[in-house]
Order: sequence, then structure tokens, then C-alpha cells
Amino acid sequence: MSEVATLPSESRAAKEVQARDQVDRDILIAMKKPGPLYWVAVCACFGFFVLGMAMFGNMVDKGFGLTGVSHPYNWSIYIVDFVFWVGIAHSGTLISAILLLFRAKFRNRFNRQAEAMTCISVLCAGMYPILHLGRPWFNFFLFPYPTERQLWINFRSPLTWDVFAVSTYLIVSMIFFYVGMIPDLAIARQYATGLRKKIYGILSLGWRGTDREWKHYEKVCLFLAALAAPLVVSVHSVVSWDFAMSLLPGWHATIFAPYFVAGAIFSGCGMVLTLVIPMRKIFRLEKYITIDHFDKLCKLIMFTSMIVGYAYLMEVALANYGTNPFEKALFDHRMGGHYRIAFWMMVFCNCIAPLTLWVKKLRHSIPWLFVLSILINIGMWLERYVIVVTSLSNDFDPYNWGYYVPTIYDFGLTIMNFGFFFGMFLLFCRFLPMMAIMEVKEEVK
Amino acid sequence: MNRRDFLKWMGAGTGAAMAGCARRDPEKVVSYFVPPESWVPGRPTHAVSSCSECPAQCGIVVKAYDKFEGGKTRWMPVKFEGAPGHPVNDGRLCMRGQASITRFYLPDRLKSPLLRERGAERPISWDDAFQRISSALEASAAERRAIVWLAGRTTGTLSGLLDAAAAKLRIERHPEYEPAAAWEAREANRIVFGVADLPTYAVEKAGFLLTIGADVLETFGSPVHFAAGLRHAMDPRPREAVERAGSRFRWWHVEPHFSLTGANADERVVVRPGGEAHLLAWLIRRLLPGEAFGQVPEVSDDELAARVTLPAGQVEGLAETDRKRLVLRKLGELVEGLRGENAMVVAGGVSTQSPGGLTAATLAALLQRGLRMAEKGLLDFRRSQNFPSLAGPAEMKKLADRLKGGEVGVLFVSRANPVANLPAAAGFREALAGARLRVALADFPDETAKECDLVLPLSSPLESWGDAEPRRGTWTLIEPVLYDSTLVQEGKGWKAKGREHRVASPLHDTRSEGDILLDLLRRVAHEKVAASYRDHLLAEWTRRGIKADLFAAGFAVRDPESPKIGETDWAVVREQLRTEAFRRKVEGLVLLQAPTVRAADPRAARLPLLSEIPDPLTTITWGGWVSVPPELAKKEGIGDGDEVRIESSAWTGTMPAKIQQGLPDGILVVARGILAGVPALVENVAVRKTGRKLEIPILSGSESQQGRGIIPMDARPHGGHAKKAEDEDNGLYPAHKHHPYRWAMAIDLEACTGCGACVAACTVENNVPIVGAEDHLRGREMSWLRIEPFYEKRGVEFIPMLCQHCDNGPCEPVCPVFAAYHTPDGLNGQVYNRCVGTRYCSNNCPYKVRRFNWWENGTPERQPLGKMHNPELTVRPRGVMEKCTFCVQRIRDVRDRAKDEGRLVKDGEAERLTACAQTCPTRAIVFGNILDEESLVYKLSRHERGYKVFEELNARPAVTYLHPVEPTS
Repeated sequence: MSEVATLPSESRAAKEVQARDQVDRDILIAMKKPGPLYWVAVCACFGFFVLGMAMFGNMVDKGFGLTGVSHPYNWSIYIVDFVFWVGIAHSGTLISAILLLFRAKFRNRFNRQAEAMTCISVLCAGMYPILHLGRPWFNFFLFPYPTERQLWINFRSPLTWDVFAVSTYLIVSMIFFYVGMIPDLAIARQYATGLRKKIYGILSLGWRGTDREWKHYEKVCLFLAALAAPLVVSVHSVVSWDFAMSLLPGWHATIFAPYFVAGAIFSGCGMVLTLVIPMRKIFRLEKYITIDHFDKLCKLIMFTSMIVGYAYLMEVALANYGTNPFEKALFDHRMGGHYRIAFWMMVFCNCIAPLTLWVKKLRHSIPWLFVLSILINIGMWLERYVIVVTSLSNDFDPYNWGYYVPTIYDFGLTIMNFGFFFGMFLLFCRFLPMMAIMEVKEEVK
Repeated sequence: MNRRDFLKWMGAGTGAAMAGCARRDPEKVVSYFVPPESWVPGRPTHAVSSCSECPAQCGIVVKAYDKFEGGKTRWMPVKFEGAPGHPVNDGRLCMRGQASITRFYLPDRLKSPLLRERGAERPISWDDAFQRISSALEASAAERRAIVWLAGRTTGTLSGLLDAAAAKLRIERHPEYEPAAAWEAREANRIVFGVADLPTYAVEKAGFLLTIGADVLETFGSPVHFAAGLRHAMDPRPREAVERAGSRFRWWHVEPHFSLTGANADERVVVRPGGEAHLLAWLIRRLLPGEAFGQVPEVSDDELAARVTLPAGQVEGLAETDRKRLVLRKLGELVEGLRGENAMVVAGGVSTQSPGGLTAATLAALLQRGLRMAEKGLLDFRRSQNFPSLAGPAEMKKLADRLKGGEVGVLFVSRANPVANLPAAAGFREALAGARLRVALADFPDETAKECDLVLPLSSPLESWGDAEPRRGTWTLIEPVLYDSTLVQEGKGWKAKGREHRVASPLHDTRSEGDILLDLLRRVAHEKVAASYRDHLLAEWTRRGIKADLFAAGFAVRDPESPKIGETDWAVVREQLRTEAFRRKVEGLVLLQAPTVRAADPRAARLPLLSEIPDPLTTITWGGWVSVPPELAKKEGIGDGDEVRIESSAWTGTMPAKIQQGLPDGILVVARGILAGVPALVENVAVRKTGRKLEIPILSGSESQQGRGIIPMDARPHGGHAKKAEDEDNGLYPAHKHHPYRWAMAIDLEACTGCGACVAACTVENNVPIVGAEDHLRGREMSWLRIEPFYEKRGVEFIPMLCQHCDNGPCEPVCPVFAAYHTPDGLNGQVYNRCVGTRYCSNNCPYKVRRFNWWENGTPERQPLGKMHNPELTVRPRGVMEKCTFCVQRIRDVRDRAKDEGRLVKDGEAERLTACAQTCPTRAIVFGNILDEESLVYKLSRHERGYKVFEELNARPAVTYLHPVEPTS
């Protein structure tokens, strides 16, 4: 792209060129030398991660008993975290791939951040199933690898599907993220010096911005989008089957796949807001990410929120309409039992709070959107908590009932990945073009 | 850093690292250089012995494996099983019996003689110990002070030897102190029958049973024998499901509180403590005509109704007059029952230990005599429980007084713990100071041993020779297990020799009581005695002519002389009835210490395994608690786990509370063995909340089954559950094919008493880790088999819950690595080596019978009893799931042996194959091959009462439960 920017075109006015250079500078502002506050933030974030990993080391040494997980809730907030981060990962692909296919223009202000978010959060998510194993050092048992003892994995198990779904998703998202970034990396190369220039040069694969390159590039993007689009549906469906394929009341439901996918998009959009609003403020990107863009994202949030609300309603309705006493008792317990606060907070955050977006004024209020996005994050985390923990706590045989009490290890390993996530995002802002410069430029007149 | 410095640091570093190393002796797998011919490494050996956990003295077979221990291969006991055909227990064993094997391995066992001087304790040699005893005995004799030998239950040859030693050494043999024996009932028999002993209760012959306070399924007499007899009385067919429909047998239980025994009785009558005597007097006046019985005072209906009522569920919301009418009508049924053929009355337990208890026991004996139970063979005095002398409170008080008065020079206390068992008010601990020398013979440093100057450590019955006479004329063998029975080293080789050559080789520097007595005779009285107690026993057995029988069967039965049943000592009876205790009503709130199936006295508290198994009624495991009746709890606002302060004249303290459904109002219950030094019954107790909340490990998540039909209380076939056709399978995947075995289990809940013997047996057999209170509070108990109590309107029902070995096991498809898989003979296998610990299998198990190893449970720090581990199966590492395997190691053993013989496993071999089925006192659990249409399990699985738990989930469990029936009155 650098070639394009430096070679004045006869057909374009010099003013336009200038405006485009301004876009480069505005967006690449984050790649300049950051202040000390930035490094403090990065260190703090990774500090949490290191602390969590140390706790995990202690768990490997002493035993999984250090956590609050127990019988009968053999899964708890590590699985909640897993589903939460997989959910967050969803909107990246949705915004990049599906909205690309639908030619929804507003996506280009969000897609790079969303893709970065996707890659980081899949990494976060992928950690939990391994951290959560009783014997994490044997995690390779979960992969089909040739052994002389002819041991194989069980393809009937949803956990095996999970391994494939998540790893596929990670690979595809990474490719998508990278391919989409190639022209922008070339711009970064142009502005960088020294070693960084070399690295960006290698990463941009010698991009020159010729018409031929552009032609192929657009096609690849489209193909990748077509390839990734079904993944948006499939990954979270598979994750939902971790639950839906079991017998457990509260898990064993056919509605789970669409319900989880909608929830994932909802939570992903929420997280995009959480990340983009401060970013827009700090890097003064108001010019590029306008209220109008937020407005469109809000509509997506409203839509998915209503699907999620519908799913909640349906679950309760089916439990009460059906003749399954276990299901009925479970939902009574969810709504009125030991975990009722989590349930009602979840309903408030995911179904009631987003209703405010029907009001245009609120939809256009950046502070409110930020608060709402935090509420959505909390609500969606609680949704998984309600699903995982309440169902396990009160299942078929009342003798086994018991209530989950987390320990510091549960919290430690949860906070750990928030640290990882935000730390990685900060690094992303500093070292990679944080918005799709090319696509923004296309719209600059 | 230059080269020289580098080398210096290297040298220093290596040196420092080496300093941390320790030399490890190489371990030999097989220590024999030339192994004896018949010895196959890894094959267990068996020894016959007798359980010494309670006075019942059941016969046991000890399974032992050769293990490398203390530098050589030795036989280590791994499991107790009831000795088949034994007259007391016939192959069965209770929870305490099963758990008592841990006693052998506990790290706090006494390991050498101890001397306590000026408050400090130090180990000494046996020679030194005998020296000190010898001089003390001489000094005592010179001062003309008595030498007293106070022992626990002592029967058989040891009793004879003790008598002989007592005569030679001028020792006075004190009556036995055995708190778990029913002293009051024995005393009553002396008064009424003229026989000072406890009869054997032939409950199997009873046509109607009334038990008053006697916790016959828990600690009274011989609980295993009683449970087996009860099952026989309910339905004499041993290989059928218990059918009550045609049977007239009914069991009534009278008690002041709510016990496991009461929960199992057909009818329960609640009595105010002390009111038992009134009820008995009332019954005598209605049942027994004649002038003699006329001396029993008439008790009016009003007086009776003031003390007797029915369980809360039956009289709830009734007006006082209606309640009274109902109670009297119900008691009328009881009178009718007692008029029936072969009616039997047994009194004991809490009812005879309360004030006026001896009166109640006497009246019960009168009723027994009046109903001619001895003549009908229901009370067998000829084969009585063999308590020729038993110390009651009066004797113990007298001993304490003599000690205080300085009359006793040397006191021996053997296998008894009066300091903990007598109320603190009896002052036994203080009285002990009066003796010149106090010698304790004990296996553990218990409360009494801690007060003694000399402590002589006793060998475990597993490492000594002995015998017992649990019933008159019934002798049972105790032989050491530590060496192979038939192999004796001779010169360089090994010779097969008779079993009697088995050498007792204790783990620690301990001796058996018999050897100690012989040593005393040898050293102090300078008598010529047998070289060892074994030689003494062999001579005695030969003299009695029981040696052959003992070695062949493990027990010998001889016909003892029938004791002469004498005249009733009416003068004493009248005295009894005139006492204050008979007329007086027990006042205020009562604190009762009741024996439970887990403990008769504090000695059981030593066994961590018993703490690990939940109390059957409350499902509390570790620690103490006080059971509070629901009404009182409501009034005082007490909830489960609230700390309460109990104040009384005898004892004041705090305890966590547990609301006990079914417990009558006005009584607080603490399980015996928790409070030391507190009388069995304390009146006028005040209880109030302290406001603190304590964590108590209540394992049950819900006392109600929430209408889920886990135990269907329904007379409809299969408890109203839809019965699935055998070949019906709606699964997505093809059904499993089983050939030639499909292992299955049937559990008859009508027979199950919830005693928990199976749980203890399972834990010992399968190396189930003991994890402690902290893990229990977090829901991390490891038991593979549990008894779930569910409170119903009618009382409490129990269901043993274990892996159901489903055909469509929900655990199997969800395991990503095939650690949970289906074996060709129908077991839900669990491959520990393959398990990575996703725990999805446990989540998906509707029965939640899988257990996860949250810690490394096999380490010596967490499992000091590790040497007890059964080598037939692994100790599971941290991070893997485990569960009931239907004792796969036992299945493989019989299956392989059958295969060697070219046949299939016979039903007789399989019926009691699993550890739980093997020990079940009522034979409620039946195991077998369901593909064999002749097998018992096949028959029971098709029984009309048969149902599967959560059948609607289509997991197709292999365990069939037979639901309990409500007896029609």
C-alpha cells in the first residue's frame, strides 16, 4: 500500500492523498512510543496471568483439590470461563466473516479489534480444558495420535468434538486475522524503522499493492469468510453439546445450540464495545468510529439479547410444560434456590438491561454503552455459571446435592485470563494496526 | 568468574547436592532365596480368628498377602470376612467388625512397654517392666494390700489361665468390666431366672418380637446374629426375596429416642425415658394372670399414656384424648401380638441404662419368664452369652472406694477403659491414684492407660494365639496370620507342618495377655509353666478335646451343661418395684447418650474408618453432634450446624446441632463414644443457641427423596415404575452383547437395615482412601458404596447406592479417552491409567457414584494405613476417577479358576462374591450372572417388587432393587 500512498495518481486530487495519509497516521498513532502508563498496564495484566499460572503450578503439585470444585459439581467456573471465552471469540468471526458476506459496511470499524479479540480469547478458552484436567500432563491423550498400544479417542464424546472444534476455530481465526492484516502491515512497514521495519516487511509478505495483488487478496478474503462463516455456528454449537449431550436436567436440551450461538454473539459484541470505547477515546478515533457505527452494533446486541431472552423463557416454559420432574425441580431451584441471585442477575444483565437500547438517546450515549457492555459481560459469564453450576448441584439423586463454594484458586485462574486477554490486547494495539486501514480508506472521500 | 572460581563453585555445589541424598536399601520383591514349594507369590493365605471389636466375638477369616515389610516377606492381613458356618455370625460381619482390621495398622498403637514416672513417659524393656511389677507385688503383699486384676471381656482358655495365675499370685480377679454388655439384663436374669448370664436370643424362632430399648441391630449382644435371625424370622427361606405378605411376624420396638433399630422395626412406640418399666408392668398385668404376677403394681391407662406415645407422624395434630385413645388401641395390638405364638421380648440398651433401668430389665425378665420364652427355646440359657461375672455400677463404685481407701496395692487394668466409660462423677480417675502401682494392658494409649504407671502393650489378635468362648460351649480359634500356616523353616529348607506351628510374630514389641500371665507366673511365682501361650493353648485344647475341631473349622461346639433355672427372687423384685426410680418421672429435657451402629463406647472412635462412614440416620461422618428433635429446634430456632450450649448438672459444653426427624420431643441424643465421662442419661438439661455456626460433615444433600421414587413407597408392582422390556433399546448406538456373563446385583430393601456393614467391607476390600473431615466438609468423600437414608412419612428408608453398571452407561460415551468403557461381561470398567480426569463421566452419572481423586491419596501422609492395601487392585493416583467395580478382582479370581476347570462360574460362587454381598448381615445384597437363568440374581431381578432407580433415563442399570413393603396391619 505504501506504493499507492506515495505515488501521486493523476486521477486523484492531492487532497485526497493527504486525507489518506492522515488516516494512516491517525490509526497507527498507537504504534508510536507509548507512555509509562501503558507499560504499567501491560505489566499489571501479565502479572495476573503469571500469578494464575503459579497457582496452577501449585495445583499440579498438590492436586485439583485446591479448587472449590467437588462432588457433585465436578465442573465449575473453569468451564464457565471456557465457555465465556469461546463465546467472546465468536463476534470476531461474525463481524469479519458473516458481515463481510452480508456487506454490512459498519463492520470495518470493528473487525480488526474483533478479530484480535477472537484470537486472544480462543487462546484463553483453550487453556481451561487443560487446566481443568485431573492430570493435565496427560492432555495429549485427548488427541488422536498413533500409539503402539492402539489407544484411540472416543468420537462419541462431545469433549472430543470440542477438541476439534476449538482447535479448528483457533487456526481459522488466526489465518483470517493475519490475511486481513497483510496490506495494513505493509503500511506499518512504511512508517517503521530498524528491526521493526524488517519484521513488518517479513509479515507483510512483500506486499506492494498492485492491482493483481488486490484482486487476489479480495478473493482470498471472500473465500476465507465463506469458510469461516459456518464455524461461527458450529463451534459454539459443539460447545453447547458438551452440555446438551448429557443426561443432566438443565443441560439436556435441544435448544442449546442456537441459544449458545446467539449468546456467544451477544457476549462478543459486548466485549467489542468494552474494548473499542476506551480505545476510541484514548487514540482519538472519534472521526473513524462514529456514533452511527455504535448504533448498528447496538442493534445487533438488541437482536441477540432478545434471542437469548427467548431461550431463557423457553427453557423455563418447557420445564414447566413438560412432564419431566427433574427438569421442573431444577428450574424451580435455579430461580428460587441457592443460586437464585446469579440467575436473576443474569436475567437483568442479559435481557432487561439491553432493552434500554430501544431508546435512541441511550443507544447514542457512549458512557451508557460502556456500562451496558460491562453488564453484558457479567451477565453472560453468569449465564454459563448458572448453566454449569446449578445443573450439577441439584441433579437426579437428592442425596448428592451440594453447593459450590469457590476458593481463591477458582478466582485466581479466572482472573488470570482476564489479565492475559487485556495484556495481549494492549500488545496488539501497540504492535499491530488496530483498525483495518485499507477498508477505512476506501470510505474516505 | 575465572576458571578456578568456577571449579570451586562446582565442587561446593555438587557437595551440597550430595549432602541431601540418602542411602536407600534395595528392595527385594521376593525375599526367599529358595522359595518353599507350595508358595505362590501374590496368592493370599487365610487365617481363622475371632473379632475382638465387641463382646459378641464373631468368627472371622483373615485374608493375608505376602508383603515386603520390615526387611522380609511377611503375611499382612488385608481383609476380614465372617467365618462361614460360625455359630455366632455365619459368614457375616458388621461395620465395626469390618473396620476393626485398621486397628492392627494404626500408627498410634502401643509399640513397647511404657513407664510413666513423674509425669514423663518413656519406653522400657519387658524385663524392666516385670521387675517393677514383681517388686510392687511383693511390696503390696507385705503391706497386706490387695492386688486386683480388672479386665474386659475374658473368656475361653485365657479366663482359666487368669484364674490359675490369680490363685498363684494372690491376685483378686475383679468381675469383668464390659460397658458394651447389658449388665442390667444379666442382673435381671439373676433375679428372675436365677441364672446370672445373658441368654442367646433365638430370634429366628420368634413369631412376634418386642424389643425395648435393645439396639439389636447396632450394639446389643450380637447384632450380626440378631440381624440374620430377624431376616429368618421375617422369611425363613434363605434364598428368596423377603415376603412379608403371608407372614404373621411383626417386630415392635420401644425406645425413648430414634435409632437405626427403631427405624427398622415394623412398629415403633415412643416412651419417655424411665417409662419402659411402666409399659412393661402394664403389659404384665394384661398378659400374665396369677397371684405371683399380681405383685407387679397395676399401671393405669392414664399413667401409661403420660409416658408412652407413638411416633410424631402418627399422632400429629391429634387432641390429647384422641392421642391417648390411639396409643391404647395400638398397645392393644401389641398385647395381642404378645399373646401369639412364640412371642419374644428383649430389653436392653438405653432403656435399661436410664434411671429405673434395672427395674425395667427385671420386669422384662418377668415377662419373658411369664411367657415361657426359656422353655420355648427363645432364650437359650444353655448356650448363653457367657458372662459368668460382669461388673455393674455397684462393683465399680466399690473398687473405686477401695482404691481411694488405699486398700489396693497393685491394679492391673486389661482391655478396659473405665476412666472414659464411667461417669466423671464416679471419680475413677482420681481413685486410681490410691494404688501403689497401676498397670495397664492395652493396645492403644487410651484414657485409662494414660493414668497408669506401667503400660504393657498387647499384641493384636492377628499376631497372637488364643481362643474365645463367645457362648457357653462354643469355642472359637484365634490364630496369628503373620506367617504361612503350613511352612516352617527347618535347617536350610522349608517343611510343611501343621497349622499349630504357626509362629506369632508381632509387628512391634508387644505380647499377648496369655504370654504376659505366663511370664508373671514364671518370674514372680517361679512356677513351671508352658514355654509360650501357644503351647499352653494347645495343651488345653487337647485336654478339652476341641483341638481337632478348632483347626478344622475354626470353631468347636460342645454341649454345655444346662444351667438350672431357679425360682424368681420375688423379694428383690418387690424391692425393685418399690424404688423411687419406678414411680418417679424423668424430668425436663433429657440428654441421652445412645449407642449407634458406629460405636458402643469410645474405643471405636480410634478407628478413622468408622469416622469416615456416615452415621446411618444423620449421614454425619467426622466429629460429634447433638441430635435435636424438630419441635425443639423450631422453638429454639436451631438449625443444622448451629452450635448449641448444653447445660446440666452432670455436663456442660457446646456441640453442633443436627435436627433429627423422628426424634421425640423432650430428648437430645448424642452418639455414644463422643462424650467421655458423661452418664448415659442426664435430666433437666438446658439447651440454647450460642449463635455460632459450625461446619459438620452431613453427607446427605436432602433428607427427602423429593418425590423421585428412588425408594418407591408403593404397593404397585415395580413400585409404579414402568418396566422396560428386556430387548427394548432406544439408543443411538447398537446395544452391548454379553457372553457368557453379565454381572448383576439385586438388593432387597425390605431386608436392608442400613447398618453400613457393606460400606465398611467395600472400603477395606477396594483400598478406598480415608480422606478425613476436611474433605468430607467439601463433599469429597470417596466411598464407592453409600447408604442413602430418605425420610418418609412412615419413618426412614435406606437404599445402598453403588455403581449401577448400566448397560447404556451414561458415563461411557462422554469419556473422550475411553477410560470409562464397557467390558464384555457387562461391567462399567474404569481404566485408571487412561483417565485424564475430565470428570464428565461423574457429571453425567445420574446416580453420582463416581469418585474423583482430588489429592494424591495413596501417600503415607494421607494413608497411614497404606500397608493394609489389597494388592489385588491398584491405589488410584491423583486426578483420576474411581468407582465401584463390582469387586472386579474377585470376579476375575473365580472366573479364572472356573476357566481353568473348563466350566462357568457357578451361582453358589457368585451369589456372595462382592465384598458388600459377602458381609451383608441380612443377605439383602445378591450378586450373580444374570445370563444364567437358574441364578438367584436372575430370579430376584424379575421379582414383582423389582425396580431400577431412574429407570426412565434408559441407562439400563444392572442393579435391581426390591422396594420395601408396608406391612399391612
